[in-house]
Amino acid sequence: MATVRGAFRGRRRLIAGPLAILGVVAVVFSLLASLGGVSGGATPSVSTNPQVIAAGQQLFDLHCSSCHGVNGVGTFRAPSLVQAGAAAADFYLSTGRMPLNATNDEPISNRPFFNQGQIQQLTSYVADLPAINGVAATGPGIPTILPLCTGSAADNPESVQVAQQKGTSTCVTLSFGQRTFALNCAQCHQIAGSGGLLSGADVIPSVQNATLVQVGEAIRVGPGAMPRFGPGQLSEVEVSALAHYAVYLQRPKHPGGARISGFGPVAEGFVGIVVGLGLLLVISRLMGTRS
Amino acid sequence: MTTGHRQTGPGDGDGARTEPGARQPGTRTEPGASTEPDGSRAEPPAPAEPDGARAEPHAPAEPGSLAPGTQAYIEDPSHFGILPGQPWPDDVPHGQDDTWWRYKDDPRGARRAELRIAAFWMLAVVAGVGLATVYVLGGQPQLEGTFLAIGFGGLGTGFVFWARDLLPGHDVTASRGHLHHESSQTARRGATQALGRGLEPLARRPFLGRVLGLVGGVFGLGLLFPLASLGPRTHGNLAKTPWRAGTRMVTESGRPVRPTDIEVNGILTVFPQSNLPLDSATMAQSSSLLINLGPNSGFEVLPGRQGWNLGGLVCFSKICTHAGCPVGLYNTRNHELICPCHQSTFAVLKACKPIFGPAPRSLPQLPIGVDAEGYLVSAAPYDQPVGPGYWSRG
Repeated sequence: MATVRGAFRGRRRLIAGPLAILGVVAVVFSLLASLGGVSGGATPSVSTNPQVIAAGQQLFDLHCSSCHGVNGVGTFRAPSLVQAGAAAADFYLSTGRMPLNATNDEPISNRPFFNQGQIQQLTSYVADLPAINGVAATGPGIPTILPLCTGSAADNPESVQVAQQKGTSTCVTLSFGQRTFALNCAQCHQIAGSGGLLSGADVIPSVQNATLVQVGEAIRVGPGAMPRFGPGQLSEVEVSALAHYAVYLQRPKHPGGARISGFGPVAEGFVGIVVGLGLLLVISRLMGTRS
Repeated sequence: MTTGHRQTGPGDGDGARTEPGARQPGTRTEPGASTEPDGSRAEPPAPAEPDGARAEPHAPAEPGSLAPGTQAYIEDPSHFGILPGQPWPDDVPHGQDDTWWRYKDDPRGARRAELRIAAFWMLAVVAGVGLATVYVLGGQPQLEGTFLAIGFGGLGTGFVFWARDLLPGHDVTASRGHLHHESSQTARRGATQALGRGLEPLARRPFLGRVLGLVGGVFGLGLLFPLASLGPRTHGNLAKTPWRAGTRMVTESGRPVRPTDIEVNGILTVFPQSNLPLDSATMAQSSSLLINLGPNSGFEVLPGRQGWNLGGLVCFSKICTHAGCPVGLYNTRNHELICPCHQSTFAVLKACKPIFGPAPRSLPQLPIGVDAEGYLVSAAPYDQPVGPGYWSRG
């Protein structure tokens, strides 16, 4: 009896180490998987009310003009905002990328510095900058995001697909969004929307916390190192489908099992090697001890 | 001191546990051990006392009173019972036995073990045949994977049981004798014999050898199967794309593109317009990337490529010259294209010359023009095959 117990104790000691590693890996990945969520908020809008624009100008002079210049004409520290457009202003402010602490900082997603009302005032002011500076060309406005197809439209996927490709559809489907995402966005943001790295140490953000409108704004503006996609490149329908698909990616279905943060083959290979080969190692060690 | 076998030195704490010969009968951990009467158990005959063996006065592990190293051999030529002249590897010391195996004195047990191993290997054969059947009938990945797992699992399990039950697996402690610059004829013959001694236990089981041959045959045939999965022949299509002089550039949804559609710092993937729907392989191969670098970007027009760009608007093949992935990551800050597969980086301003990563060549450039209706067209076909190099490239 003592012999048997001794054998079990020996075996327990043998597999304790690998089991502990497996446990830690499982906990870390479940934590990673549970992070991130959808941030809500009212749909941003641009006001033409002079009072709102004046309030925006006050905020601008206080927080922005030291770098972007009076009336947003730009300085050696920061680019001109005259043709940035309302989309850029709302995107940078509502994702907390602006204002920056230091001009050399990389604008990354953060808690918004301004509240929603202030963001609307600033956005309205930036949208009015071409008029203030007497310039004809304007930047991209806040994009309209079409709703997802429901009811009778969703019942006829063929015609909806064709209408979406032609850009005449009034609603969008996730499958069309996925197709457009795979062609235009996935190479950088990953097919799971988890982001990554670019040359020159530029970081590709994930789409985990973006709202529908923020996705649309980013497409039209091309913040940072991202290319911009005008209406000639991606129609309003395509942008809407992309936005819905990006938001869907924040809570996707996982028919294949664990998502492992959506980082693709590297993370999956890591789990395969550590968990799979680790298990094989434990089994072979047990077999070796038995013989 | 070094041995041809696993060495159990005095400082080795595992020695007593890993060397079966040194085990006390009471500490056996095999579950089956207790059921067998002690008499029928094949105890290794008189395992050498490791301590006794190490008690040789010249063993380096125990310095003793002797001078170290070479001096010891000269003073006492006998080393673990081996004289310096004796051929290596007559290395099993007197009183030790490395030929013991589990069922050595139990022919019925050995037969049972042999049949068990053969059963596992036959399982592998059956799984292999099952895999082939599923493959020929059209394939079903999950089923194929299960058969593959059963096949290799059965093969491996058989090997483990063979090693455990039918092959000698005893540790002995021994010297490897002296190293000679030039081996004598006797020493070489001795070495050959010793190698043969290792094959002997394998050759003892011709039945298992035949079953193993069957398994090898089934898996060897299986290696031929992927040939059928290589797909249709390419017939030189690797070198050609549908782009011709005047072929319209269209988006993925078939919409023609005007030069003003692409914003500054914007990119667009375009395909050749075609009356017939293109198959996906041709479409993928001909996919090209329109980039609007904007005015004053500093794009270097290569000699012989004048007029291939339209102001800041340039077009390059989207297929990486390394492994054929779509080169889609565009950094607008430094105008670099990056391949997501292996991080090959192309400097767009230098006509997509590779500046980092494994890509060996620049991305081919597509000359662009505008047709009568104001839509973008290719002014000429690609002047070189797109994508990675292959063996018959001109």
